Amino acid sequence: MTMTGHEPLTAYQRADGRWGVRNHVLVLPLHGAANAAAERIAVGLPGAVSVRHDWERLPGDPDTDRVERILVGFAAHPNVGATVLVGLDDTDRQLAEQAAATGQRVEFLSLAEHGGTNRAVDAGRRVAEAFAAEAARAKRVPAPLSAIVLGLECGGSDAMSGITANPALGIASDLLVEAGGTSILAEISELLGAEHLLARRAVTPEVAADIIEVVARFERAVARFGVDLRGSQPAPGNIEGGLTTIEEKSLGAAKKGGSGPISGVLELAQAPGSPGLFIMDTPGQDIEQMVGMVAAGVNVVAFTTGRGTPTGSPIAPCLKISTNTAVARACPDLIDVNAGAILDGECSLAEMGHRVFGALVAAAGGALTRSEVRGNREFAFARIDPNWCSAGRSVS
Amino acid sequence: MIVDGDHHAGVRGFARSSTTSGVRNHVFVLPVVVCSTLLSREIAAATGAVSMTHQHGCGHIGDDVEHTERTYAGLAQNPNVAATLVMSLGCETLQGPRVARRIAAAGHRVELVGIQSSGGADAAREQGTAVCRSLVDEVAAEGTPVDLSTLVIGVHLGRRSALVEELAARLRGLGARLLLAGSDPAVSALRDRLEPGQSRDEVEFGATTDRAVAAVEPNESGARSQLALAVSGAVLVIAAPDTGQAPSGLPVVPVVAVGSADGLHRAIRDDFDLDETVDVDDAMRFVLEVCAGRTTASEQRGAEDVMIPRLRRTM
Repeated sequence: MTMTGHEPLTAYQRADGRWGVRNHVLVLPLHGAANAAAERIAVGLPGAVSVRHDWERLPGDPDTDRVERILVGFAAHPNVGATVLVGLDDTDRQLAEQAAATGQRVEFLSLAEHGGTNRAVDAGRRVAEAFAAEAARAKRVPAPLSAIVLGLECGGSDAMSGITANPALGIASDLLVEAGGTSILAEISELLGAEHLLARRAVTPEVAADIIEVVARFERAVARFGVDLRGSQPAPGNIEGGLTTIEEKSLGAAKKGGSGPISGVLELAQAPGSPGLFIMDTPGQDIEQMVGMVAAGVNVVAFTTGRGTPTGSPIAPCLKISTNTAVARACPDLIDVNAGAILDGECSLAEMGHRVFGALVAAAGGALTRSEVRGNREFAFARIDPNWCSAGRSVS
Repeated sequence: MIVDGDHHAGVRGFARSSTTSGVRNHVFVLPVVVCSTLLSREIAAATGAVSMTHQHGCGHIGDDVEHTERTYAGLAQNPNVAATLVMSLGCETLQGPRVARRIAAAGHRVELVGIQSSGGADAAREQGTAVCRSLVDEVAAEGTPVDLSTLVIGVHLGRRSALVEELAARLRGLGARLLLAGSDPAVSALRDRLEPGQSRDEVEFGATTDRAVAAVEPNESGARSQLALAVSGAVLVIAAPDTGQAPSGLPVVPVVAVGSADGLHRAIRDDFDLDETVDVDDAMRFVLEVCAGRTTASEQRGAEDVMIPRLRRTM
């Protein structure tokens, strides 16, 4: 055991210098039409994972750059030892080239070059089997704590979130950043009302201005819709859990980011580029947020919840931390760590912070989280203008 | 197919009312949020029901909430669905009980299982599987002959297609009602042929219509056009995707995909059921076989994903 009470970390070092905490073979469709092919290539193959998504790659789609950044971020992710990319046709090959440019082991195939799904599955399966055999031979090596790029998330928050799980995770995040690691706070819709407090922790006046602006631009976008944000925030489950306002939810949500300095503001799926604590512009919707952070290189996700949720990342461990003991008891298979123990008087907030940190390091070192065991691999794109292709309905 | 002396035509189907029939008798496991999609698929696979993959149900705002609810309810109320199991997480924006009540209020058989209220994923899987199995038993039925005039056939034209236009005209001639989707000028051309001089108002998203020929709002996306047909009650979709777009499937509605004879569609010919070179009599026979239960290319490859058209960015 080390000074902070965790086991020494081991991980996989990648060609570009980043560290992976898993060694998946990812079978990634580059087009929604390739979902079925990708799933059939990966199914039943140990270590192989696939996802399904709704990207149609229509000409002129205003979200093309965002979506492609996410796809390449996943394809080249350090938690992935090798990637099979399944495109519709040769147009998709450039994404494989971008992923390969990072040093990632990539094989591209398209439905068009194989006559359709069935024969593409046969060809892709042979590649995936070879990749999986290689991946099984890879060995973890000792890694510094700075190898961890942590994504901070909350979903199904309740009145305890800002008192137990979120501040405990904040302590863990501070410990990681002090040790040279990276941590990303996100969900702009759930930082609304807390931005002035976060801006005070910015490392420069420019970063402070960026923090204020990233929240303000979200508010402007909502105002353009001419609708009330309160239809969505707090969500029905938050209200049932005792949260009353957006600001109350935000002040609790922001505590996941601890108390240390904030080094910068990132766009969705943008890699931080240096260690430290960052804020990323993502929605609050659990899956769109998680995908945006993981695409940026987050290799471990910490997810606090007051209501319980099964979701996970296709390629990253996702540690679920409950805010209250009742949910940990009611839904035991959804929770990895129960921060409700603070309210039960079993431990202090500081002790829980170290416990969460230890659990994150253990997950990074290979201990499977519950969502990984269950096979939850949700995936979704956070789009700006999802309805652009309907007649007269573009709302950007 | 059964054709009597008065040229009324029938197929094997499942009558839902005196004017409406389906060509499938599915139990539909409907995940109201992305968080319950994995469980929904597992439950469907274990019980012989059908489900779908999507990425939505939370963080919607304004009119997008109603739009998404309408999508779910429209699929559950499709005449191909005999009963629906709504799978909810619990804390999501699109609340499971509300969706279930809406489906029930329309006179459809529906049950609800929640992950948080069941006590986690394992408990919800167990409970959902039991509920779904009893729904499957409850609605099990052999098809009976139904009149083609009780069927709404969806026609998606992402491009002009001589074969699909001819199939549409023949089906209309046999009495089937047609709901059109896609882009102009293909849709307008077919309406001109089927109903010269008729009005051109559109069926609202999720609404149904008694008209013999009607159209939904134009959309450049083939997948979204087909979804609009399914949520407005089309029980079979004949699709001619744009030459640059791949064919897509639907969860409760079989899609007969017709490719163009060259380009991308020729390169992925295995993923289409028919192409423009197929003889129209053979194509008509294929469509009627699909009505009678034959599976299509999209069903065979497992393309039951749904492109839910969010109206607005996610919160």
